[in-house]
Amino acid sequence: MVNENETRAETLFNESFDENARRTDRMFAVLMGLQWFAGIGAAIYLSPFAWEGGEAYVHPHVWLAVLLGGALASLPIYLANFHPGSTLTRHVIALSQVLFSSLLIHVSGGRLETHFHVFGSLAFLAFYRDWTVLVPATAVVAVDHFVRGVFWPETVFGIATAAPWRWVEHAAWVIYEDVFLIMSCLSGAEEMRAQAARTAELERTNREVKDRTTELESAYRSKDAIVETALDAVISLDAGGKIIAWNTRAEEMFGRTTEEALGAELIETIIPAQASDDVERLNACLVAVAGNSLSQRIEVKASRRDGTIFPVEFAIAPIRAADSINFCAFIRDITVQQEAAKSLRLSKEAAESASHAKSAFLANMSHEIRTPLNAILGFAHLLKENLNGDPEERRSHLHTIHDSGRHLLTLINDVLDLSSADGSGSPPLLCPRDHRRHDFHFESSRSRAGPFARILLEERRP
Amino acid sequence: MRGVGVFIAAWVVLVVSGFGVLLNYGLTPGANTDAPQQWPSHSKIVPAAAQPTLVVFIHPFCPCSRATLHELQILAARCQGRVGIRVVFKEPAGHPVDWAKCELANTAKTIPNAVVLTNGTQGESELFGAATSGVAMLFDRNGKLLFHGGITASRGHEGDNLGRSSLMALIEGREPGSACTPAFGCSL
Repeated sequence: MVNENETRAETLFNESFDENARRTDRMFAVLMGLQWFAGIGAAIYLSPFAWEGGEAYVHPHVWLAVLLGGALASLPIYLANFHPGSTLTRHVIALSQVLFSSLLIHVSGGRLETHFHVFGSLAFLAFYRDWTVLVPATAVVAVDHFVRGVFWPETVFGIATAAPWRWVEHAAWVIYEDVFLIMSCLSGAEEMRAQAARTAELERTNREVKDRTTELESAYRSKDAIVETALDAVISLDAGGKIIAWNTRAEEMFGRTTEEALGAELIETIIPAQASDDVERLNACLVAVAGNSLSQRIEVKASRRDGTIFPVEFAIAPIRAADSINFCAFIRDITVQQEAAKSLRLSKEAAESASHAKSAFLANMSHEIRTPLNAILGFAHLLKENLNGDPEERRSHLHTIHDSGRHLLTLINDVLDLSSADGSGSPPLLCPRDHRRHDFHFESSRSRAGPFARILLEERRP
Repeated sequence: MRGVGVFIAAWVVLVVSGFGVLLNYGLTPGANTDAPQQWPSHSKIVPAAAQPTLVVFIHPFCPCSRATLHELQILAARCQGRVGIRVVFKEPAGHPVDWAKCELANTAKTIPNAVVLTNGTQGESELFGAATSGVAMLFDRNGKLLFHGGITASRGHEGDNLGRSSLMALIEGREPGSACTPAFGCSL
C-alpha cells in the first residue's frame, strides 16, 4: 500500500511538474512574441535611421530587431507549441531569453535599466521549478562577458585595462541571484512533491471511503432486507421510547402502517391500557437496557389496532452511538407457542395418568397371576399329601388345578397380547373393561379354589 | 526530435551570426581623421577663457549620439567649473533642422556649462577634422590638443568607457588612459 502510494505520488508529481512546464512554456511563448515586438518598437523609436552625412538609411538595429529578434522568438514559440513540457524546450527558451536580454540591451543603447531584463528573465525562468534551466542562461551571460571582456573589454567593463578575471565578478552577481532561484526551484519542486503525496493520500482515502460507503450501503440494504422480511416485528426506538423504524411484520402484527407508527410512543401504541403491569415492566426493561449493554427479554400483552390482545415476547437491545442511545425491539407473537405449551402440558398430564394406570394394572396383574398359581401349588400339595384320599375329592382338586392353569394361561396370553400391542405402537389396553375381565377370571378361580385355597390366597395377598 | 535537433543547430548558427553582425556594427568606429594639434585659428567657436575646452561634434539626427550626450552629461556633472563644453551640431546637407524640435539639441542644452551651437557651424567640423558624430576633442587653455576620440564604449552604448574616463583624468590633471579613442556614430 505504501509503495502504491509512493508510485501514485511520483506519477502525480510528474504530471504536475509537466503541467507547470507546459504552462510556463506557453507564458514564455507569449513573452517571446511580446519581446520581439517590443524590440522592434524600441529600435524604431530610438534608432529609426542611421546617417551618412545627409543620407539616411534604416538603422541596422531595426533590421536586427526584426530578424534577430524573430529568430530568437521563433524557435521557442515553435517548441512551446509543438513540444511543450519537454526539457529541450525549456532549455532553448532559457537560452533565447537571455539572448533577448542582450538584444534589448543593444537596441536600447546599453541603458543600465535594460540590464535588469537579465535578472527578471532568470526569475521568470525559475517558474519552471527546474534549476537546470538557469545553467544555460547563466552560462550565456558568463560566456558573453568572458568573450567580450577578453576581446572588447571596454564594451563590458568601461575600461580597456580590466582585470582578466573581471568577467567572473559580473557572472558572480548572476550566480548570486541563481543561488536564491535554485533554492526557490528546489523548494517549489519539494512543495509540488509534498502536494502530490498529499493528493495521493487523499485519493487513497477517498477510495477507502468509497469502498466503505459501498460496504455500508450493502450492509444497510442487507439490514433492510432482513428487517423487512423478518418473521418478527422489528421496531427501532429513540432514547425517549418513540418509534423511529417500523417494519412490514410490525404493520401486519399490530395493524398499523409505518406512517401511523413513526413518531408515536411505543408503549402507548401497542400495550393495552389495562395492562399497567406490562407497561411498568416494559419501562423498567428499557431503563435496564439503557443502563448496561445487555439485551433484555420480556413477555407482555400487546394489542392490535382492532383491540385484539395477544401475547408477545420482547427482545430489546441498546444501539449506542457517541452521545446518544437508541433501542431495537424484536417482538414475536407467541400466541401459537403458548397454545402449544398448554397442549403439551395436557399431554404430559395424560401420559402421567396413563403411567399410573399401567402401574396399577401391573400390580393387579401380578396379583391375578399369583392367585391361580397359588391355587395350583396349594391343590397340588393337597394331592401329594392325600394320594390315597377320596377319589372324588382328588378329582375335584385336579379340576381346580386344571382350571387354575387354564386361567393362568389365559392371563399370560392376555399379557402377551397386551405386550404385543404395546410393542406395535398400538395404544395399551389399559382400560377398566380389561381390568374387569381379569377380575372376572380371578373371582371365578377364587370361587373354585375352595375354602383352603381362598384362605391361602388371602394370606398371600399383599 | 531528430529533426528538431537539426533545426536547433541551424537556429544556433543563425543567432550567433546575428549577434556577430550586431557586435560588429556596434564596435565598428566611425571614420577617423587627424585632429588639429592646436585650436583652429579660423574657428568661430570661442574657447573657454581660463579652462580647458571640450568640443563635441554631433549629427542632429544620429541616434548613436544620444549615448554620447548622456556620457557628456555625466562628465559635465563631475567636472563642473573645470572645463568649458562646446556642443557643435552640424546640420546635414539638404536636411534643414527645426532646432526647436531637435531632441539631441534639447538634451545638449541640459548639460551644465555647455554652450550648444546650432547655427553658423558650417565648416567647423572640417576645421577640427571631425568626421563622426560623437567625436570629442579636449584643448587646454592654450589651445593645445589633449584628447581626441569618442566617449562611448561602442556605437550608441551608454556606460563607463575609456574616452570619458581619459577626459576626466585630463581635466583633473591626472594621467589619461588614452589620448585617442575610437568614435562611434554616424558620419557627419
